[in-house]
Amino acid sequence: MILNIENLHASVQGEPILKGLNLKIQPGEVHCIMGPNGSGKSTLAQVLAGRDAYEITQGSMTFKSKDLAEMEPHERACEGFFLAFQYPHEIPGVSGLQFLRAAVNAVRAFRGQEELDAMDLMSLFKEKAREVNISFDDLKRAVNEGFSGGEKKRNEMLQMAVLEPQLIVLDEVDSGLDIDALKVVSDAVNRMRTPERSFLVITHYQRLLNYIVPDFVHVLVDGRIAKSGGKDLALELEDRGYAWVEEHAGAGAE
Amino acid sequence: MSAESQSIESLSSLIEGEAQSLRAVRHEALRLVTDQGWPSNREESFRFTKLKEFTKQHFGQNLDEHAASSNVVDDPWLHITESHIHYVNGQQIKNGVDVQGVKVDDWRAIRQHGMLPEQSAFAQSNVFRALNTALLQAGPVIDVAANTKLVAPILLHYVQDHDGKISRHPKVTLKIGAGAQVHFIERYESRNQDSAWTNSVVDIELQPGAQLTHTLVVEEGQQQFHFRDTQIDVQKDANYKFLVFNLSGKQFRQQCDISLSGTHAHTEIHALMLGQSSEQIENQLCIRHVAESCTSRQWVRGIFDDQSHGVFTGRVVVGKGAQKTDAGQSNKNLLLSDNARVNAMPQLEIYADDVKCQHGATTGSLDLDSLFYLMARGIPRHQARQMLIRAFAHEIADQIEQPFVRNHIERAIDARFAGQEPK
Repeated sequence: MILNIENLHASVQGEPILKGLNLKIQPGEVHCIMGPNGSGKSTLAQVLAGRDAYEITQGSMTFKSKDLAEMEPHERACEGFFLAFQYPHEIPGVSGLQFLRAAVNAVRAFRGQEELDAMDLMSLFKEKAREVNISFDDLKRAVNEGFSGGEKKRNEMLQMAVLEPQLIVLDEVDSGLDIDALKVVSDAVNRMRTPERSFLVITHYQRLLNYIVPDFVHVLVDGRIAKSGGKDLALELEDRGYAWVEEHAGAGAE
Repeated sequence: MSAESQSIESLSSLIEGEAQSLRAVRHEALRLVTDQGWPSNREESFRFTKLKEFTKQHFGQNLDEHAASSNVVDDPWLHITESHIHYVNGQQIKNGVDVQGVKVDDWRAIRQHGMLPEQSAFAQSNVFRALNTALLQAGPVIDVAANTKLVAPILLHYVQDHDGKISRHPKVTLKIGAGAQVHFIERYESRNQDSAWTNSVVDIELQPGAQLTHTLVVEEGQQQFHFRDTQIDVQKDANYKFLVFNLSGKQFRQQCDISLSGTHAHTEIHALMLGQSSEQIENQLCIRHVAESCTSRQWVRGIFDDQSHGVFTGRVVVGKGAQKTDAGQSNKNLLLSDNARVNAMPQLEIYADDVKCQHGATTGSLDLDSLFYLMARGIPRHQARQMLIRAFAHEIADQIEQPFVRNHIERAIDARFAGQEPK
């Protein structure tokens, strides 16, 4: 199993957000979590990535059988966990190239691999940047600084492609994207799909799932998964709205 | 120690053999020192200056003109340009400037000819400048002829490796002729941890249309005090760019007064202050817009760790006749410890009415969102922290043209803050 979340409770500043969440992801699976605003979708992404503003009060989460809660954010990344941020951060003064170089070599060092030399890195970055439609010159600019929403998401996809993680969490990767950008992003994701690699797609809208087709859809309501199903569940939600699940919350939960 | 007791001791032997007229100037300056004594924190411009520890010290003066250490190793700095002037323990040991249009003298030689430091040099100023006039031994006098365009920089390299508590009072005088273009690098380094005091005075004149890029690098020991008084006159159409790097030293205090005295003169200052342990770094900048249509910019950044303390005053005085002035300043500080602090004070005095003045100051700690973002990509915490600190300094360090100097500054930043695990 890639990810196993059991009865996870998490709070921020004493306020409980996740209230007993269960989720299992096997290699190669694409899961989608949908839910109304404030249901805890982004909290789940941040907790998995190790943001220390969130406190885990109960339950457990393991990644490839290792206890995630015991790992620093960079250790999670080095083990193969990747979060594509909803709002990628701007870092003035650090160029995209520096950032990618540091990340790739940190991950390689953690895995006991040799650092890649400048030439190999450059050709790797060039190839992957082309795939997500980022010009090489843009990599010389400061990370995300002055980039449009769509460009920032493509930068996230570039980092994902370069780091080749095993579990990828996409936190509202579709927010603020027009249809062309959405296509670039979903193509990047679909290119990464392998029998070993798993995805957790967090979204508010069904639209994204026309491009990234999930194996499972879960509906998150008030910090718990209220309903699970196949990809048709997303269409049904689109039809009936979240209120339909909220009304039946509890009844549909495991 | 009182200001006078130390000075009088040194002075009598120093001025032996000097011309009568020069001795008179020395005595006059000394009288000023004696009358005023050390400044106190009640004075506005010394409000935050740590004076207690400094005034407790007793510094002797190195009067032996041949006492320069022979230990002039093959210093990589001396390879960045042929045109270097090298001082060890306050004594000039090498003058390698051999370029058409540039004349380099030393105050030591000039003193013997009885020439005077200009009266104005200490008339209106503070006790430290007066003391420099009284005790001045050596220091370069650089004269660049009109329209001389230098390709390589002139490096003034000051090294301190003398044992014992020594003070030195160098004076740097630089005159850039009309239309000349010069890059001047000034570096102060101490190679031992003994307590010492540098009391430097720097006077620069840029004649009409002259362009000067002036880079100051201060890397002194944990027991070294450095007080510095800088006066710059920027004449019509001249351009003065000043890069300041305070990399280390127990206490550094610069009072820098830049006068834009001719129309369309421009000055810009880029300063980076790195503080650690209980260091204090103080940059008191004053830009006087005297003539019309001049522009000035100040970009000052500070990174302070442990119990270090930064002081920045960005004073802009726009005189009555200085219409169409365009002045701006930005000060950003990064505090890496709860005990580090900064006092930042923009001061605007505006007597003209058609003027554009902007200022902004921010002080904060390392951005946790940025740190998390880097870590979320696999970069360990201490390395992520190092990247962010370097990024913060980047905007200033990037102003340096010479790759050697820029690399040196970047390495110094890494070495100072980054190798360590976060507290």
